[in-house]
Amino acid sequence: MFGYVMPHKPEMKIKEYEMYRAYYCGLCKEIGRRAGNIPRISLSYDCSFLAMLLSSVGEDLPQVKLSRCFMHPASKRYYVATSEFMEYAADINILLAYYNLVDKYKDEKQLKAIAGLPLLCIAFNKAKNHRKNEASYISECLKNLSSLEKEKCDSLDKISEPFAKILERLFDFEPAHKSKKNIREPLRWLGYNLGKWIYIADAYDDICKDIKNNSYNPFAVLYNIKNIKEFEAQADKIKERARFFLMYCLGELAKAEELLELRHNKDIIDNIVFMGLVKKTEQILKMGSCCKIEKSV
Amino acid sequence: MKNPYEILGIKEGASEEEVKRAYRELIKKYHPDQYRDNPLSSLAEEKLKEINEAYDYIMKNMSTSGSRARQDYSHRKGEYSYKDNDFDEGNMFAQVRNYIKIGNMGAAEEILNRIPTRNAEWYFLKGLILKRKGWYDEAFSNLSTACSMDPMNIEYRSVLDEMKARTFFYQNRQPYRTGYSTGPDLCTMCQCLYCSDCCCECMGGDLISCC
Repeated sequence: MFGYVMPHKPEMKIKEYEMYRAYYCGLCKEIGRRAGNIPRISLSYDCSFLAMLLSSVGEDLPQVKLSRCFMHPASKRYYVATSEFMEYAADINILLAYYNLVDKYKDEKQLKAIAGLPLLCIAFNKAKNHRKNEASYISECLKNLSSLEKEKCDSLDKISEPFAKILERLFDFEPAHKSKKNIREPLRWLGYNLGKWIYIADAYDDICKDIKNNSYNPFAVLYNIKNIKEFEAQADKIKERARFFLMYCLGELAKAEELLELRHNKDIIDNIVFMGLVKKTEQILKMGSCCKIEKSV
Repeated sequence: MKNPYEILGIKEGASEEEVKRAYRELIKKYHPDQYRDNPLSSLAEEKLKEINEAYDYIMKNMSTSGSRARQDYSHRKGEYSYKDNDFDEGNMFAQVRNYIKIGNMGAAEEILNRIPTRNAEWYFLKGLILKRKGWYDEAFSNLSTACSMDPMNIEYRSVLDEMKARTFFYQNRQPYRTGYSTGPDLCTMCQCLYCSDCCCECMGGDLISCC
């Protein structure tokens, strides 16, 4: 479900790319520091976006350090030193990764998920202790989500609501907005729309797979699709609907971003919001026709 | 007050042209039309006020003739007008509209759900509420229903069209610097050279002597 929030690299300056990577590496190191080396595999782009956004809103320039790490022993890399934002993003990263694995294990009985759960278990308990409120809110929303999935919900809005609510809550991190009064609402609205976007983008991305495996997909229920042939017949209509939904979410997200007073990293965040997410959407919408390609091969 | 130059995102000592350009960009960005039926509209308005103040401040210090551009924009700031219709439940519909206007979506939805008639207006209002809540797919289908039930209504049509337009507007907006990827590619350049050469040869001259 994760890893959709990325910058569009060809339009980045080198210094911006280095800074973005410094957050990514910093988050990885932070997870290692807080939970041990093994959970570092759960590192996701979405959480480094979370870390970067919160730190850009909530603090003046972060401390950047240079060091080697065991994943890239050849050269030293920049990384953002620990701060309350990095700690928060690291905990959230573990929580989301763990819940995601549980979800995969329940739905699809994936081997990967069963193997991953014990690895993350200790880290998860630690993170849960640090962030009790967030953890209970996430699990409550996910319960809603799975009951909606069970009753085969046919509304794109209803089904994307729980995940949107989770991100709305996660972007609402108090130290980021406590010093300024008009930051909280845009942050929440940004999170809400990002959550909707991620859920629906993921659903559209998985549509062929879900139809084949006969598992729940909101688009399949909405258009009453039972097999790939029926999907192909309506593919264009579905694509247009998904495009409208996704782009509208991004439009609202962009508006929220414009109201944030970013103290630094504005160019990187603009890149993600106005280009990275658009490119990703286009890419996912194009992939929707994957079924045809797979069949002809 | 914050540094007015910072608010407009320009350097101190910027020329009048630069100030005006920055101001125009920002006004477009935070224009109330952009934040229609959006929970952040009051914040955008505040921001706009801040920008206007900063612009006035800079312009006053720069010269005396600067506030014209601002006036152009400030009276275009259209309020969302809600007309009262004479339906049986006209009063209730008016209440719903009122709640939507002040941003109390819970109350608006509650009253709307009590109205038994499902006419165009009902779907329209439902669409507005859903849109504000962030339920874009259902908002869109409700608004479409309203438009098909009452195709002549300009108000319904304008909200629906605006919703459609917004996705395009977002896709075509790139505040990020562009220019690296938009230049002509090698193929286009060769084509141009070839065509110029052909033209020159027609007229008896030659641009590229070797072909």
